[in-house]
Amino acid sequence: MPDLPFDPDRLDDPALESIERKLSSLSPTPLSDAQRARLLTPPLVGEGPVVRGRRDRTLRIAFPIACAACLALGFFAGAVWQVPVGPPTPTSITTSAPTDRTATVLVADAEVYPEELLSVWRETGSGPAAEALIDAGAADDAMPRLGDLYTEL
Amino acid sequence: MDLLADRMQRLVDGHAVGLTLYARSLGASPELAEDVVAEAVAGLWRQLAAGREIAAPLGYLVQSVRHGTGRRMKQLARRREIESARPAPWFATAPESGLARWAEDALARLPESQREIVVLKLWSGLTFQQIADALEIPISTAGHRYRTALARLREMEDDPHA
Repeated sequence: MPDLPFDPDRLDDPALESIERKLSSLSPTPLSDAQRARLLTPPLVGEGPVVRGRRDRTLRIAFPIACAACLALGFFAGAVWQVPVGPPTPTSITTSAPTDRTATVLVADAEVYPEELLSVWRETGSGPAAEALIDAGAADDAMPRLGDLYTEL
Repeated sequence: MDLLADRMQRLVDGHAVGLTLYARSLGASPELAEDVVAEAVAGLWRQLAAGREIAAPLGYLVQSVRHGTGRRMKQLARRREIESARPAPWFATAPESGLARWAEDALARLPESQREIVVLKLWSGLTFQQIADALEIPISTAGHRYRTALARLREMEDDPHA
C-alpha cells in the first residue's frame, strides 16, 4: 500500500470521528449584544489610541533630538561664555587661554605673562652663553627656574 | 472604509464566538476573554485602516488573542487578583444536558497545547493549515495533537476517572 500524503483532516478512526461529531454538536456561548456592538465599532482612526501611537512615536524621536540639541547648546554656550571663577588661592596656578602666547598665568594674585617668563629665561638660560654654562656643568645654577621665579614673585 | 467594515463584520460574525471560547480555554475569565478578543479585533482594525496588508487576518486574531490572554493572565497573577472563574458555561447548550458540562471538564483536563487545537479546529472555524500558521507549528504537529486530544477525550468518555 503506497504511503498517502498526510491529511490531518482524515481521522480514519470511527471512535475519534464519533467524539469529534459529539463535540462539534456543541455551540459556544454566543456573544452578548454589547460585546458584538463593541467588536463592530471601529476604533477611532486618527484619534484615540492611534493618535496616542503616533504621539509615542513622535516622542521617541523628538525627545532624543531635543536632548542632543540641549547638550550641544550647553557645550556651545560653555565655550563662548566662560563662567567667572573666584579669586585664586595663593597656591594655585591657573592657566586659561587658547594658546600659550596669550595665556595668562596667575601666580599668587599677580599676573605674569609668559613672555616675561620667557624673556628672563632667554636672557640667562639659552643661546650660546647658556651652552657654555651647560658644558661647564653650571647650567642648573645659572638658569632661573620657574619655581625660583614663583618664589621671588 | 465600508469594505473594511464589511470585512471586519464577516470576521466577527464568523469567528468572534470561537475566539472568545479560545481565550476561555486558555484560562481567561468570561470578562477577560471578551476584553482580549475586543483588543485583538481593534488591533486588526487599526492595522487594516492604516493600510497594512494582513495576509491572514484570522491567524492574526488568533495570535493576538493568544498573546493577549497570556499577557493579561500574567498581569493578574502578579497582582494576585485571580478570582475564581465565574461559572459561565463555555457552551450555549444547557449545562444540565450533560454533554456540555462533560466536554468543558474534559477539555479543561487536556494539556493546553492539545486543548487549543481542538477549540480552534472545532469551534473557531480554523483549518489545520491556519492553526499551524497561527501557532507557528508544523501542520503535522497540529494534526497529531488533535488526534491525540480526541483519543484522550474518548478515553475520558469511556472512563470519567481516566
